[in-house]
Amino acid sequence: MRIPRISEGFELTQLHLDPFEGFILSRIDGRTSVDDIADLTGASVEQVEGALAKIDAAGGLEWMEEPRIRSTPPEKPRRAMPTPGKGTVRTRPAPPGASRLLYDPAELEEADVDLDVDRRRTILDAYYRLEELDHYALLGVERDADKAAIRAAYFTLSKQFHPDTLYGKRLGTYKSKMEAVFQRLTEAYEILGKKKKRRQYDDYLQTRDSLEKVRRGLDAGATVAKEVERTARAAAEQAVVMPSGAKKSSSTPPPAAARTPLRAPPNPRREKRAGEPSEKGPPESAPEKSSATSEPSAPEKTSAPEKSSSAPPQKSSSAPPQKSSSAPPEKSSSTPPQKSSSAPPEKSSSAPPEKSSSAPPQKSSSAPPEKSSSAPPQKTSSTPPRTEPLVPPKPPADARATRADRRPRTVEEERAVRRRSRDLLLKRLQGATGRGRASVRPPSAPPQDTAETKVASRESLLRGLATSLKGAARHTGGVDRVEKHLNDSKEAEASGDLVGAVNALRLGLALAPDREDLQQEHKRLRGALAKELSATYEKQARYEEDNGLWAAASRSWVKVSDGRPTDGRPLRRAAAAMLKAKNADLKEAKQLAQKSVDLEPRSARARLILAQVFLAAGMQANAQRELEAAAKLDPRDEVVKTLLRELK
Amino acid sequence: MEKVIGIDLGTFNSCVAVVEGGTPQVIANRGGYKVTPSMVAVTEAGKRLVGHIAKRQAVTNAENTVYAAKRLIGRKFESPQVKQAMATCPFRIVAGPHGDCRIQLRDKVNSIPEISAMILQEMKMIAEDYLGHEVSKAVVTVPAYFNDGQRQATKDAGLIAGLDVIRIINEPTAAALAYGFGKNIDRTVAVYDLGGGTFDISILEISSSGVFKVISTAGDTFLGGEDFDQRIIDWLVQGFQEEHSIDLRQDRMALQRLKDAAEKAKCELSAVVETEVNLPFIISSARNEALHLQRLLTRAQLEDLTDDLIQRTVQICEMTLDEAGLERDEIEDIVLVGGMTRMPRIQQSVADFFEREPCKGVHPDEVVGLGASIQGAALVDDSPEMDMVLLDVTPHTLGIMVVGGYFEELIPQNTTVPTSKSKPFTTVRDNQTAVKILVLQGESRRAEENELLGEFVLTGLRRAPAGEVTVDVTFEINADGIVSVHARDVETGKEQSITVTASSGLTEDEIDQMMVDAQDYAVSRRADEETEGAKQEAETLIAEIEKLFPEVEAVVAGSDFGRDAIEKARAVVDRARTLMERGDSAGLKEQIDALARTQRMFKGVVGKSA
Repeated sequence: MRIPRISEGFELTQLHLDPFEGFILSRIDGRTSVDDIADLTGASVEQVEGALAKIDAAGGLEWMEEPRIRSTPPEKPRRAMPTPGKGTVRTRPAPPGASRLLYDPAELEEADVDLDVDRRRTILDAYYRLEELDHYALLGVERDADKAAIRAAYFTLSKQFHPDTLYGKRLGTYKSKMEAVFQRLTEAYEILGKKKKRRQYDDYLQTRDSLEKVRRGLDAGATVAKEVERTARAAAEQAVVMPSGAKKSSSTPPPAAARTPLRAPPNPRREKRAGEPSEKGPPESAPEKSSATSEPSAPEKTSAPEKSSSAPPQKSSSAPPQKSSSAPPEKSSSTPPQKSSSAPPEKSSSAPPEKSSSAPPQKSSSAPPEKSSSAPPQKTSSTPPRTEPLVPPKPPADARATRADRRPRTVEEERAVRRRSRDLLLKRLQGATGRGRASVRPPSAPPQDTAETKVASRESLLRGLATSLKGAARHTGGVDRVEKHLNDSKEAEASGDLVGAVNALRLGLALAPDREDLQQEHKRLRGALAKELSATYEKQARYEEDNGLWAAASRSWVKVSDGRPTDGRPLRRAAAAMLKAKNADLKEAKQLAQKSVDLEPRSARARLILAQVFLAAGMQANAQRELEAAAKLDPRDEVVKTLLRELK
Repeated sequence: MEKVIGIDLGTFNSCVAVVEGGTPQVIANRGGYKVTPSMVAVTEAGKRLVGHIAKRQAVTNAENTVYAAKRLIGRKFESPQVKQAMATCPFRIVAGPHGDCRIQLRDKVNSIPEISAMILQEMKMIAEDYLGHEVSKAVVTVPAYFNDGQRQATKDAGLIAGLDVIRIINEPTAAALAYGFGKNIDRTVAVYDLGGGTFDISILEISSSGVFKVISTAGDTFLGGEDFDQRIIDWLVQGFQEEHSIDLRQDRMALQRLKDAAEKAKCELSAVVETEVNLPFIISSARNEALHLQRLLTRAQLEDLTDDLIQRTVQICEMTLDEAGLERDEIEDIVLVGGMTRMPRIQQSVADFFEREPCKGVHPDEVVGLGASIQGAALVDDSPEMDMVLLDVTPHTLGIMVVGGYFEELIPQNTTVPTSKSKPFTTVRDNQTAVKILVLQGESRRAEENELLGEFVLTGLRRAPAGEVTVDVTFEINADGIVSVHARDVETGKEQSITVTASSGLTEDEIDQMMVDAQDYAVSRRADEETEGAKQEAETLIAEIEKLFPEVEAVVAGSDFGRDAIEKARAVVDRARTLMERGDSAGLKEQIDALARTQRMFKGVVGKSA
């Protein structure tokens, strides 16, 4: 989510703006994103961006990121949840090359502190990421780093964060933050520095990663399925061949997909939800519904694709150099589980001659001839087996919130990712004959190509795709594919690959959304998978709670609740854990607590948690309402009574 | 930037050092010694003596000469350690007003921090004389095993002495700092510190980036050189008793002489293989005849007498290694600290245990003081050569008392500070609305056997069956070693907290008063020194004048003017003598001018006539 802000000292009057542009200008407050400005002014995002571009061109704009947590549903409710300083995470304009920040920039300006801005920033950056970083990422070492490297990293960082190195300086609140960082560093070192402890920790990470992989696999599948569905629908509805031209091409399905997650709250949970509507479908949307009141459902959003698509690249360019140190090593290893199995067949058939270097596994057979020639440059196949490729491009702001992927992407990467996902989608659509699972091909070579030539080829490709889809969806081809996906799903389930099964089925559903048998099967599989995972997630959640990793624990509890969709308790714990997290996302906590209340309207505990969230957010009236409701449900609850008394 | 001195406040000897121009160096006292005995005495005339001068008169003034006060610092009067000291020490230990113990010297009762302050003040003056300016900040070392109360008492001692003790660090850690300083090494080292009164072992990682991380530390506050001396004394006493049926321990004077002789013999046996203990006229027999003590002690005998002590230190080394999770061969160097490590048998035992020869490059008596000065400079000096940081650990487990009088640990010993830790606790009684948090320090499972650091009450808990209300207790230790404790009712968010300030056994008012006294002492001592200087100068002049009188008289006696001058000269000399007797240093200083004029005149007269 990008947020414009007027550069300090910029003389606005030098601009030639019309009244409408002036109106838009008046909405820029350094807190409101482009989308929100559009919503506030009633203008389209394009209009807003046009006006902003004018100011920007004159050098009067700075762009900030809203990196995590606060990314908001675009409509007004965002203001209904004022978050007090504690949990607020805003950013200041990132100077080129500087980091995007996770905290209220006011913290940087704390008075009476003898630290320069860089030092302050280093401290705050580290402090506000403590809960998110695993020990390796914290120390900035690889997962396979040897003891000497770990030791060297620890000692170097200790010198930065031990308050003694700044003895006699006035440190204000920075002192305790340095101490907290130092403590975590020491913990990390003492675990990674000892063989046995390190092994145990590695086991934990591995479990976490594999769960993460499953999740990403599902997300990826959902995204692809949605693309398929949307493309199919679009193709069916408009018999027109898409116009060419770079601008337009970006309004083709993939960017539209990108749009959704952009809007969606940034943490993994949300990211996932963004993908869910299509995947979950109506049958089991109970929790979804409750959230829908405060959050617009994703599909509506897709109507304005360009706005999001234009933003991310710039954003990523401001990626802070130091962030890269946090790049979680596990990322590279976290290939979506299903990928490898499905890859081989396509590959063999595709590799177009001229593209030898990138060896794209494209299914050239189903694509129009000219397309096939242009397809290879697309990188999908050649990119590393990250999970991102399947996730639609999203602003780094989003990415950062996922625990495992906090390294902002560079412009190149961003493009590559976007390209990859589009290509994948394409492949998937073209290659209905292949296994239907959402899968990423194993990497061959890292992407090298530069944008321009690819853009052209991609467009032609997309055009061809749309045409072919149109036919496919209308005619029997679609049905065949559905059967194919269904078979794939069954096969996958038989082989124990529930994730693959779900994803395959989702693809089928995307093409034939009305088939009840598919819907039921999908629901059944989802249930089985969720159940299978929820026990593991619960274990993980408890481990994280024990270790004070509250943000992570909250996410894990959310995943537990996926497996127990009718049980409000995991959500309650998720909300409670979120409340304890250092940079608590109160909005998220509220949604979780609200959902748990919706699931268990008779539970006083659930209401109590919700009330506590409101209290933390300074929303006394709402808290009181919930507490009174809780008191009615359980008149003997002393906590409720006490809190009520204190409120009055 | 103000200089910070480093003081090794030892049980028996103290040492002060300072970093100058990036080089740490020990400052010698006025007698030219680099270490100063940690002894304080008060003479019959009420004069305070510190250091060598106090040690020299200890035999004749045993009752009013305090040594090893460090063993008593931060201790309760009722504690077994104090009882033991009372049985063996010639000075008078009395109960203090806060359950602490105090020492009576002549007619004044002194707190232990006051005694330590006298030594610190002496060290401060030594540094000031050397540096030529006032010093107000210091890093002071304590044994690793000191608890919070003892550390606080040491800080208070600094305060009384007019020193802001900016950091208390552990002796072995200081030794490691001095060992690793400027070496640019990456190494895991063990510091074996056997001093006069305490034994400490620490294991540290030293990195070339200038970080010193303590991994583990342990020790025994009642195991040191004095115990070795005691073995020799016991052996001498026993032998004497067998021979003469007289228990020398009953005679304080004899005991003091035995102590000196034992220490001397022990030291000598580090260099030679046998030595003679010779104490003539040590006591009178029942028939009033003088008895002498004369015995030959060999190194092998000494090693026999003290073998179990040495083995104990080795055991502690083993435990510490375990604690650190290290194998012996992971220790890359061993630093020996403390005078006792000169004993060949100890060096051998350490080498045998670690299967490695200890490092020879450090001076066991000076290394701790040097390390303290390095830490002081590292804190206040921003220059690159002092760019280093010490990552120290908590020496003791911190926790609270739980039901049944048990001690529940929150922060285990050897946790690197700064650190914090939370643990949830629940109520134990139905409808319990308040919970008392007792903050304790120590290693015993039983709460009462650990040291109480502070307590507070969290009230307003909701009424509920036992176990249903959860209270989160959080301990925090910051980089300065300050402990704070918070308790929070998880559900209501109610919170209570305290910052633990360990008690040294002194109230603030007492400390203030003691500071004033110590300042008065410093002022009067400076004045005394000036008086002394003036006196010497005057005496020299008077002596010269006196010497010239006969000659001058011979030359000028013939004239009235001459006789007059002689009389005046006599008057000047007499007045100077009077002033000297009165101790009037201001008057004396003025008089010195007159004396000098007289002397010049006399010389002129004599010179002319010659």
